[in-house]
Amino acid sequence: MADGGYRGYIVSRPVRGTHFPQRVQNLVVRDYAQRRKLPFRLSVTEYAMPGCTMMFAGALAELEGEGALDGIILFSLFVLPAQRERRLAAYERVLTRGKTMHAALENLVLARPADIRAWEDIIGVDAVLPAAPFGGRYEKTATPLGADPAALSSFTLK
Amino acid sequence: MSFFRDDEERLSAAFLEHGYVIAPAQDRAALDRIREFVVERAAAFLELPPPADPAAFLEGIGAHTGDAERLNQLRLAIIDGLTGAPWFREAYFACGRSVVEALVGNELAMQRGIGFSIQLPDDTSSVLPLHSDAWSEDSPFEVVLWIPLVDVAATQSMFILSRERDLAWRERMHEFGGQTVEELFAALAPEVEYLTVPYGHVLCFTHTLMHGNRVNAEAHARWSLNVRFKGLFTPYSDKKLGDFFDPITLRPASRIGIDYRLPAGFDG
Repeated sequence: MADGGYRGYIVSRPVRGTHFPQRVQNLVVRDYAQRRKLPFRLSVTEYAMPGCTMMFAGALAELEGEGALDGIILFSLFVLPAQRERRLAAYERVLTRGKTMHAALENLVLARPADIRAWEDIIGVDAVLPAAPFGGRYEKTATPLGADPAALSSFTLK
Repeated sequence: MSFFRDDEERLSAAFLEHGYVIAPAQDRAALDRIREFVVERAAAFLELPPPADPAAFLEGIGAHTGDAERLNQLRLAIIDGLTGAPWFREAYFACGRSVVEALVGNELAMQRGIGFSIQLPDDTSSVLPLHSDAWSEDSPFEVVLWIPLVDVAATQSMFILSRERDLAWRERMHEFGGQTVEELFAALAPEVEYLTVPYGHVLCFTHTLMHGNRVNAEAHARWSLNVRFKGLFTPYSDKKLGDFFDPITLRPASRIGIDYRLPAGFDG
């Protein structure tokens, strides 16, 4: 029984290609709750299997009934289900019950239908960035064109 | 043949040569609104009556701020006020929209927070050492839209190396590997340019160039804001879309493209 408050939601999978230890994810979620003065409820941790959203479904179910949660604090926007239809269904479920969903790492709140577009724009653009120049990521461990300085200088705009 | 308008060509040429452009604020009313808001916040924080002369009030703020801690509290109060004002980001973008669009593109990501600086005369605690943002968490595809709330020049302003000199010093930088940034600055100091930016103008620069500020040796305080912009679909570094940037001008064709799925279910 949740008895109000905000359930943390962290994952056992990489987020945008980076594996964040669960302890670090929890720190981010707890800090977010503290800063926003949101009563925090212990995080649930999604299973590692790709595409699995069972724990998320459980957190959504806790938004209903007696002693229901006030909302969910995601570690990141990018722990939401990969399928857009499932995300939209989750937003609807949160909003129709007058609850809120938070993305701690991005410091974003979903509190009204108009917020959906902002969340989906970020997720949508991020999804196509791998098809953008340099795969959408400027790596600093090496030059983007590889280790050959000559290649880089020929690329530099004059 | 060029597909750019003449004004875009001029801006682009200046930006490629110098690494920055200074232009009149496109929406002066928006800039005045921002300054008015900052002045009101500052006066309220310091429990002073609204000043008759906003520029003089800001320039002479050192007479009212007291110690460094109080000054920092003032900074934070103004940042809180600006970030909490729902109109602020749109107004800020309006100040330099055409410049940013000409130099970066018209499908943009904008920094979600703001950089804000008050630099009192002779204040050694507000020095921003020589650096390039590309050396840390930023992508070289970003630009900074830097807007002063008072007239700034010389050490009251920021300094920057030209593109040509920045390239030359980057190639020599390894020679300073065992030394400090201050020693590097001392070596290249004769070549930096302190930018003169009158109130009512915006500065747009590439933060890939070495830049920073020194102790303000002028008579007046510097007040300035800075926000980064980048092409929405250009490479990000550690300041990512979502946590640091958000899309502000995602175009309809991109929305359709992002959502589009080819017909599926064929089994041939």
